[in-house]
Amino acid sequence: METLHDQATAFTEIQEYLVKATADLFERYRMPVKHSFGGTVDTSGQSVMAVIGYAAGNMRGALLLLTARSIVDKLRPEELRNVRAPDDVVLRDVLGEFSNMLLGRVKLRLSTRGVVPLVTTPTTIIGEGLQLPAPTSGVSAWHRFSCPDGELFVRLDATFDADFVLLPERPITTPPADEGVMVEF
Amino acid sequence: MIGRVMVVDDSLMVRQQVSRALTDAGFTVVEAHDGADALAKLTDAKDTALVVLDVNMPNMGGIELLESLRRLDDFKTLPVVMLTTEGQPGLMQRAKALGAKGWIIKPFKTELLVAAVHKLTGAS
Repeated sequence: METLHDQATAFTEIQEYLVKATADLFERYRMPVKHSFGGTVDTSGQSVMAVIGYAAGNMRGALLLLTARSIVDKLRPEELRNVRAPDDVVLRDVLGEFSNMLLGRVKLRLSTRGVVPLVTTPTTIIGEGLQLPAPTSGVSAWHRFSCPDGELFVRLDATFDADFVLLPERPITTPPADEGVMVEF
Repeated sequence: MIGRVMVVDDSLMVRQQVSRALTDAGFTVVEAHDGADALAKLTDAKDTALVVLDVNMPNMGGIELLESLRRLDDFKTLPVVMLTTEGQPGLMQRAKALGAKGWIIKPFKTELLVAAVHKLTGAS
């Protein structure tokens, strides 16, 4: 990666994967979302935040998912309506798993471009006015998604080393098959 | 009761969804929240028919658990299905080499998961 333009191009491509992955994932959970630019990240009221770190050999960063408590509650599957666990624990778990699935989808696309990141387990929190400072190096961008019940925000942070490169996309020769369908060994 | 299945996942949401689906299908389900927890619980449940196993977990991940199980005589051939957000061919090959029976990418469909567990346990 030799120029600012190279870095911007790579970051844009990764963000495109992220935006598509977000739309597909929430559609899958019957909560269609629409991506838009601009606006302010609203953290007033009770919100839930999930953060996952990732690192490949020559890039690293984090994915952050933030939305209102009421939206996470709508995503909560039926099986979690009557569990013997505090509500906050359940809602954090739900958003954590969504952030995990989201980063998993992005990782899969990156693996077709020669980048294979390792990821951390999600860190989650519930509270009012939640904020995570932007990283002091690299690049960072917020994405806003609207749904009938409100908004959710996704932030991608990335720091690229000088030797980072996104290779031309190559097809996945080994499955994964469709999500949810078992690849039998 | 048609067999005991262990579900290993650090997500309460996933454990509950899998447990409910398999319990409704007649299986007895034991839950573990990471690989280390699973290893401890399996020593008291050697008649476990199958393990549904996540990959990325704190303390001990799914691949590490699989490696540990294959070193133990009691679990050398225990059927394992990976259920994960990961879809990288390299990881899948590693699991396959360790004798995993299948790989499912989340989000999963409960009916397909139950069908897979039925097939791999021979339960009907």
